[in-house]
Amino acid sequence: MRKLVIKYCTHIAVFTGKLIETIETKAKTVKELITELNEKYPGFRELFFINGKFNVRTMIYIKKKEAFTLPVIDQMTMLKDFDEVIFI
Amino acid sequence: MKYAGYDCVVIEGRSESPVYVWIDDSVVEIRDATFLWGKTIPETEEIIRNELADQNIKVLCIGPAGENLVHSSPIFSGDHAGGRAGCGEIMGFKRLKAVAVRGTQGVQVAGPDVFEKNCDEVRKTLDLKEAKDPWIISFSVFGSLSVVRIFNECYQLHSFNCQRLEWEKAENLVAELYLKDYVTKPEACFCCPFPSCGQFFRIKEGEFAGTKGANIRAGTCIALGSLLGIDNLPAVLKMQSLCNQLGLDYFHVGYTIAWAMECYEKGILSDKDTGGIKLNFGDYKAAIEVIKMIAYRTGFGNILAEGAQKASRIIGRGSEKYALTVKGQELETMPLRTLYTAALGVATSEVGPDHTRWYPPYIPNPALIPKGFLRKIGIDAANLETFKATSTKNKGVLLKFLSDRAAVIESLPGCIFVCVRGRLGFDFKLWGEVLTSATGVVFNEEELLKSGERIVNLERSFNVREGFRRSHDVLPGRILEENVPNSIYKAISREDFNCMLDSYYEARGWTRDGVPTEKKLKELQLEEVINDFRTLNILRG
Repeated sequence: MRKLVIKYCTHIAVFTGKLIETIETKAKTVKELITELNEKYPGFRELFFINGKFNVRTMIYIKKKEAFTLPVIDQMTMLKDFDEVIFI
Repeated sequence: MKYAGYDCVVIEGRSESPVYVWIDDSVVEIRDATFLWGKTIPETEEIIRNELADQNIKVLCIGPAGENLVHSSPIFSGDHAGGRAGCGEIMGFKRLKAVAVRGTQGVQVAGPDVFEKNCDEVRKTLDLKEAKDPWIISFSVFGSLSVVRIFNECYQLHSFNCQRLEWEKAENLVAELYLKDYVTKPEACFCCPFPSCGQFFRIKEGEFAGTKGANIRAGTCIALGSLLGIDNLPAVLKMQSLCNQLGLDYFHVGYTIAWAMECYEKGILSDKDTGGIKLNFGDYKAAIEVIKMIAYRTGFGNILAEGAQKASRIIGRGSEKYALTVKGQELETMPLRTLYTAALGVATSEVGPDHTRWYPPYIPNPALIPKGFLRKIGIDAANLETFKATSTKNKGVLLKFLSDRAAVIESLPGCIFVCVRGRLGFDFKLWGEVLTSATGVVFNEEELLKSGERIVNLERSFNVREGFRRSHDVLPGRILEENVPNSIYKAISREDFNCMLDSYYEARGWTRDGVPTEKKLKELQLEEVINDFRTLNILRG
């Protein structure tokens, strides 16, 4: 299990009804995290994929300690304990 | 104005006493405006509409700030400002309070059916359900205010006069809270497919109850919020409302007050300088008082009305270091140390910091750029360094494309916040078809981008003629010398900055001093400029 801080911005905050939450998750990658959040917020996955294409409707950023905050280009990007994942 | 039959209006000379121009389709009249002098923006609009007995008349006007020749004051229409660079100040100098227009003629296009079909294509690209651009949904619903949160997460949020680039209390200034607590209804510009990029707001209770306005932008919450260390959203809304009533540019106001606050906290300015006002970061009451003093040039406000650069030169004592300006104009809200295209764009803009000249404030996502397009504009798609925000690689050629594109879009005219989304930012074939069907003059993709390049070169040539060179394409010392606190982001080194500047001039076909060459001017058919430059002995090859 890893602890992640999840931040939801703009229309995604409207969708989830919250701006921020800390979760404990088994998800190792961004893809797995989206799948897990889709169970909690049905329809969540659709915000990030169109016809299987990733990240063309919404941006995901990962903020890691001692690293640049960068947009996620690859859905298989690995997640680490205490990463902040920002959905925009 | 277009509906009255005019593409532009040139107003020459200066009146002895205040006047306003009344354009009623083909009838143009210069009217006395003595009774309007001193009135705020909303008062002026209301009085003119009542005098002309038509509530649908459009009014462009200045407030007390423009009348008092306050630096950078814009021209307003309601809560919209033709921002920055001091056009309102020029109207004030001419004693021209307003231009009121009634246009009843509509606009005739060359090929209405094809034009409508092309416009449908544009609208389809921006459709919320079909959107293929991460920013279409958030911008459509939240406007530019949506970027405050992401700027804060990415160390891009100008805070405390850019001493910091993130601030935990900025969470109190975000779009999500604004929408929840203050917005009364959405507001879109005329014909815009984004349903609520702007919104009307009203504060219902508390210290600022009754304050209302519209169009709160990221710039508002940064320039009048985090930059001043103020996290009280109602106070920020009050400050923008004041700026819009008095006719002030909130970037000028924010950066100049932030300069004064930093100088005050560092002991460079004292109570004696400020007239007893304690200008500490976070003190919104002081900021509100000072905004009024700037507009009416009273007390210390008379110095701040000159803008941060001139004010710092008047005060001296080392305060110049904390005035964050380029070409005499205050910075905006764009990230510089963490986004190199923005840094280069701000430094080389002919009017000083102006993000609309190279928008957007992030690196384009290569996955959303049509195949082959990058090669067409001289960028190697395989070189991923180009798409890294803090790499110097290829930033010159990238900025050239972004600024040529912005020149085209702003001249169509289209809103830069809308027209760079999805395929619209790259599909100049579509824009060519829109323009061709509207005007009847055939524009292809290449000719359109060439037009953008011509515009940028013409603007540069104007500045060159007036003496601007490489030494004016600079950034404030803070950006080039101070690392971003609490992060791994560093200052842009002077070496890196100069390297990017060289690459930009090279991509543009300019000399190392930033002057368009005769070859480039000939290619763009700017013979008049060549003649001017020859007369002034500017051309060297």
